[in-house]
Amino acid sequence: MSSRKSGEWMDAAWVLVMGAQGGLMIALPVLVGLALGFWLDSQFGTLPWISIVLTLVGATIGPIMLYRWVTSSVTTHLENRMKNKKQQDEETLE
Amino acid sequence: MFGEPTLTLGQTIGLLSPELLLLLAGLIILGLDAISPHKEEKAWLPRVTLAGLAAALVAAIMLWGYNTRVLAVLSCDPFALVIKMVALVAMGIVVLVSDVYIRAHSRYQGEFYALLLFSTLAICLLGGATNLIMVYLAFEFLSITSYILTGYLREDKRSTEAAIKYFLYGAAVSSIMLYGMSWFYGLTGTTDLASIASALTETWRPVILPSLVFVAAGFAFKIGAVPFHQWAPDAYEGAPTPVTAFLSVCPKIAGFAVILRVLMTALPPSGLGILGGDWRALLMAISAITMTFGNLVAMWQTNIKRMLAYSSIAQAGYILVGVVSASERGVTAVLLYLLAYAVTNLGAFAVVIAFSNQIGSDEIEDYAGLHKRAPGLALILIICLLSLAGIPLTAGFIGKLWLFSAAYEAGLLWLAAIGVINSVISVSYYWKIIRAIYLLPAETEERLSTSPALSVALGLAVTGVFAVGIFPGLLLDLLRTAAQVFGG
Repeated sequence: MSSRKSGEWMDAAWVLVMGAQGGLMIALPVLVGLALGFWLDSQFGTLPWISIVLTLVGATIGPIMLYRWVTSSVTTHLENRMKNKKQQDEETLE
Repeated sequence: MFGEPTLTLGQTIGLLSPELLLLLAGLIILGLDAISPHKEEKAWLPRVTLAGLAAALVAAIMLWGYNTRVLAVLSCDPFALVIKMVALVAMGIVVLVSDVYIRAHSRYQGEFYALLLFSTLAICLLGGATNLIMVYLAFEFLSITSYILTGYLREDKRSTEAAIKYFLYGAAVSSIMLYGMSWFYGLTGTTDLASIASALTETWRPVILPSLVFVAAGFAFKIGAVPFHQWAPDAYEGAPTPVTAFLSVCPKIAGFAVILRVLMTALPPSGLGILGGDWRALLMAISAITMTFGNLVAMWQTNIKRMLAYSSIAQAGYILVGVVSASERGVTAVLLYLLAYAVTNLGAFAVVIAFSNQIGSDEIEDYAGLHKRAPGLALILIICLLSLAGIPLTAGFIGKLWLFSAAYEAGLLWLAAIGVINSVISVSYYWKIIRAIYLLPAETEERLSTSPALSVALGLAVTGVFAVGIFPGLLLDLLRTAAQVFGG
């Protein structure tokens, strides 16, 4: 019972960490794109065009990175859970 | 509060009656399900759910003509009421197509129907939300019920995996949307949409761009627009098929309702360029890329649920054409197309469910010779696919005609042209299914049957496809009145 409970806490912590990292994965490319765009625009006197392009590039890269990361993390997490469950079952049988 | 008319408790309850009736029906189902014996077949569950939806629909119809704020964060106006009516009709069809499938696949039927009712409640709240806090809470309410419904078959690994992916992706996007909303609050000191619009005229505008991108991320996720579309194919394929039908239609209705309300109220197009808060340039790009990407990728699919997932991504791109038109005609077109898309797509999914219930496959090649095994199902699927492609006399044609003409009137001829080209491209992958049904030989001659509930759903969908396609005038006055809420 207690190992099941600790497993649930681990799952909850994993979800929290994933959510926080995932949020950053979308926000950072947008903000970096915007900052870089503003700097380049101020250098070349092209405001707002480079800012717009780089912000949109950031907004496109973020969700693509996020999805790849979510897919691989979920697959690994589910495989690990299956492995742990199998191990626990074997230990119980012994 | 906020200079609004003071409503009595009775008036407030009356104006919120569709939402309250849905809540009541959901709670009644949970209560009765808990006290009824486990082994009972519980055929009453879909009936009570349909009764709840019908009562809410009648309440929404009776509220027609009102245009007032409720509890400072909701509006009871023609636009909100049209969204509620479309959502209630769509959910009615979802309930009808779910009956046999859920009885066969899950022991927990009461919770399933209660979740469907709570999802409808969330959509109704989103339709009338006039405050960013309300928008966010209702969005999350809808998202959480959608995650649970996606992973409803706990023993099915694909369903669980799809739900976890959908949940994690959705949680990250939701946090970003909230971050964007907090920027808007920081800029304007308010979360009320109308107050944001007046406050933004005195604010440094370039900061609006990242705020807009973050909030748009949440909206794009909900409607499945590129680049926030990746969750859709996996969730559609892994979810129980009735839930796929729900996911393909209901979150889109909610998403477009919120997009229109937030953008047209808080950020009316200013003509100051994207850094000045004019979102049209951003949405034009998303619209063109979304419809092209969805259609091109749909061409390579061999699984019908996955193909319809990419098709629904393309449909979101078409609907965005009406949004970027940012006019009364554009909003009318969006509402008309949402209704057309809802009945058409749910009709297609009803056939997929009828097929899957008996054959257990969603592969397009297994549809070979369907016209001999189930001529009625084959014909209805073809009617729905032709409507999705936009062939005349169907709802899809009238919807697209209105969307593209709204774009033309707004001076966006190039976007309308991309839409027309994409409609032609879409015929190629719908043809793949039609070819399998009529031109390929069936492996077996065994006849397929449909349950009475599914037959009613199919009948409703086909009637809707032709009613909207042949007599759109019956609806247009209603939809125009709804569009006038944003003052053109």
